[in-house]
Amino acid sequence: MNPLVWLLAFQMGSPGQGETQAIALHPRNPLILYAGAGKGLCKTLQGGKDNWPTVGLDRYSPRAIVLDPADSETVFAGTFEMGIYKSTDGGAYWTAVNQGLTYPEIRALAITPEALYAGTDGGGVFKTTDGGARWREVNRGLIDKTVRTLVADPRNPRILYAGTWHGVYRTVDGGETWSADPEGLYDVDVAALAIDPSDSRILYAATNPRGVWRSGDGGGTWSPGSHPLTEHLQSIAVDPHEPSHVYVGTRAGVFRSTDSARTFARAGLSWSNSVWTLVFDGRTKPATLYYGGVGGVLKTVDGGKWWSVTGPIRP
Amino acid sequence: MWLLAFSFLALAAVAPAQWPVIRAGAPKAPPAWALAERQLIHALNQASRIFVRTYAKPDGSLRFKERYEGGMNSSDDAYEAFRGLSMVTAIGGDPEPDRLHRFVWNGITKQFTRYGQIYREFDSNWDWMHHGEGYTSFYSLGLVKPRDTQFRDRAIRFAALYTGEDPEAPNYDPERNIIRAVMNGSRGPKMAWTVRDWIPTNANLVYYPLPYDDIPGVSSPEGWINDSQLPVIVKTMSDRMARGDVPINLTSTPLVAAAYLYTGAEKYKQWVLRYIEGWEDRTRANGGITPDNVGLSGRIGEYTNGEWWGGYYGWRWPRGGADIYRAELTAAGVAHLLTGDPKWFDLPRSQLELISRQGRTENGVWTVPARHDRRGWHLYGPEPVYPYIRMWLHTFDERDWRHIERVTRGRRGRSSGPDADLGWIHFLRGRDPDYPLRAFTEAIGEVRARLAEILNEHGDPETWVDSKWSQMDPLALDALTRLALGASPVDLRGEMLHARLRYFDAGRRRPGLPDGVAALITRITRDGATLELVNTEAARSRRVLVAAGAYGEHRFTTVNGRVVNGTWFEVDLAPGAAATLELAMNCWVNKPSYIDPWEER
Repeated sequence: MNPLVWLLAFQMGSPGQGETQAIALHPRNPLILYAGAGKGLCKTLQGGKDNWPTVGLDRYSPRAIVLDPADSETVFAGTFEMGIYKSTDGGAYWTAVNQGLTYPEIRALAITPEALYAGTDGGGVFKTTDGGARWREVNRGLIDKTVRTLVADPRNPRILYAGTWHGVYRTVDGGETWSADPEGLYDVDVAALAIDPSDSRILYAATNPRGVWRSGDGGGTWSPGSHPLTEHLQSIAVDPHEPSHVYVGTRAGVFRSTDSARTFARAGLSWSNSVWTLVFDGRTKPATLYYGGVGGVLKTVDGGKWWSVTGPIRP
Repeated sequence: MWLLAFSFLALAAVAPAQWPVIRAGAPKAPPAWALAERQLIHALNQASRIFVRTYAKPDGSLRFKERYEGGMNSSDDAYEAFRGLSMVTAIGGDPEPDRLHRFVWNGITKQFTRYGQIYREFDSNWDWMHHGEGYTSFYSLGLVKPRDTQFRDRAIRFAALYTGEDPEAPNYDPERNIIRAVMNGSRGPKMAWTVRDWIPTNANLVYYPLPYDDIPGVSSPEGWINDSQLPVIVKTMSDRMARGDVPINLTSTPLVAAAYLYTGAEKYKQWVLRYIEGWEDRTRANGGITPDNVGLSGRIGEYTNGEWWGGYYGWRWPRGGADIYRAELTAAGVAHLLTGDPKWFDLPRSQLELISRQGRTENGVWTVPARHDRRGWHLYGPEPVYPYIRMWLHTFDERDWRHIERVTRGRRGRSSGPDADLGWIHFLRGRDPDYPLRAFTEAIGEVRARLAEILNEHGDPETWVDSKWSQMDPLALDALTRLALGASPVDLRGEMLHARLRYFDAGRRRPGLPDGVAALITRITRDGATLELVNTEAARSRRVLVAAGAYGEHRFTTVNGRVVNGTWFEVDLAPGAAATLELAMNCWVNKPSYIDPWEER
């Protein structure tokens, strides 16, 4: 091993060798997390203290990770250009599940008790109801097929929202048909969507260049914040314990709103020029906010006043 | 050992050359090491093409982020990753890897100019630990095409950034004989640092100890990632570290020496020697310990409360003294090359011996400290052997050999990994005859393993960090460098190649071993070497021009007892033939240059 590689091995206190694009939480064990990083798919059993070992998909850049709500050992990972991989043993072994998935550039995954949906870069949305054995395109009404984000209503699995380069689309029939309201959030780049966990009719959209928008009626109507962010937005999350607290990841760090996205203030990491993902774990109180981006996976429990690393620090 | 069938020939009658020619005519079954060496070269040729094809775009720029918003974190990783390409050609690969190297170099230069990091074709501001990593890639280009005017011109312009000849980049203070700042480059010395300069490097530094333990309000390395403390850390570092000279700036000496190798202009040599003498003087003035920081006035500890430790990449840095003596070794190697005088190694030797004197036995293992600060010497670990080996290969000084014996008592050395230099030295001393085959075989495995990863690359370049390409570099050249050239592998921190021999294809008039020819140096002494050459081609003869040193700095006196008295001799190998050559040499006696045996004539 050359000295540089030796040195880098010690630098991987987080999912190193690339920026983290996706984070997924284990539903029962808060110390188990998955992260999609430049080096592959990483899984920690110790909240990061085990240095985030890679469990597969090396050099595939997993960009979206979901766990089957019925079986937490079943994990799906959407990759940059190699489609979707599935593990049924918690990440030990991975199989490509791409039959019928004609667009391998995966940008988002959403899972419900009934189905798994994949948002692709150019091919719209694909759906499987048999655990990935077969996929079919479900794009009726979806004019913009560059899907950047996909979220499912936790209370009604037939309702999903797709953020595209040209606005937000909604389906109420499990993806069979999609619609976008021309009077709504339309013709704008929607980088990320988040649903208020306390009221699934409340939806937030991180857009470029029009900042964060809020809908109180399931995407029917939208209103902008009074202080739209000018930074390039990448991700968004809602605090499960304080639903009026909305966090946005940008190319200039993290911002926080305490008034349901009307106004925003800095919430740390202003040095980070890539906040690919923000994920809340509501099992702690206050909730833990995980960041994925430059520098791997970081976390805060005080609204971004202090951020901590998840990996071990060298003596 | 091979029985030789060779003879000296009257030159003009048999070859269009004026150097001695030796003919080896008896075919033999090729030894396993020779076949493995050629297989390795074949693998390196393939790997070079696949590596570049996978990570470079058609214009030579690298697949990477569209926007790069880093601070000083620089182009070094990009250049560094491709440093092996010209070496593949220089040792005996195809011309293609060297062509790709120049192509990618130019692409990276344009790309990082667009990012804002490169200015006037050189990194605008960064430290010489990192400059050294990047520009290691630059020095090998002259080995293959010493007349490439584009790179020759760059070498001259780059040297001027440090010799004081470039008014736009006053990095060097000739009056005080110091480089004015830790961060330097084509925009000159950077006297103060901002938070932006440390983005996104801060995301890695969070996993290291804090640069100081008395930064107001900062007690954890996590300060590096928190908005309230990051500016305080950077301000403290800037106040204490940014201005003045540090030992890692000695790694700039190969850059200036490269201009000397291209041009032969004495001013470059004089700058190198004078700059090193400055550090020798400061070490003497500090009671024999190289201070890790010198202020703009030339005073030691000017910004660190008078302490000789606490500078950038200094004694209290994570690797502590290793960064200091490595830079001193790099500079000493250059000065030895330029002067032929091994006295330049006195400086790094003095620091290694100083550290060794602080050593102690822990759990039966001899350990030495890496760091020094207000706590005194600390962070003990096993004493490294590679610095002594690298010195000994220059000096052949018994003192250095005794250190090697002392440090490695009971250790055998390996054919790869951190102890590979030791394994090689043991081989050269006749202790491990299987070493070459093992080393070549392991290198082939290394190339193949890395190629398998590259061929399975499906990552998103937007998420890659700038060390991505280095992590994927498939060019495992260490075994070839040691065994074919008689050289320690080029250090990542900015070393130049220092070799006992190199080769040219006399038939095709190009650098490197001819196709099918394998070379193995089985013995190196202060004034000689033993070389085995094997033509693995069963049906084609080959002509090898053997050169004394990477830059013609040595001289052959005799070959197998016959008088040569020159920099070159040719070996004509009949199909399947081999030769064992006992070389008597005067080393470091010629003026070095990026040699071209045909152009020179």
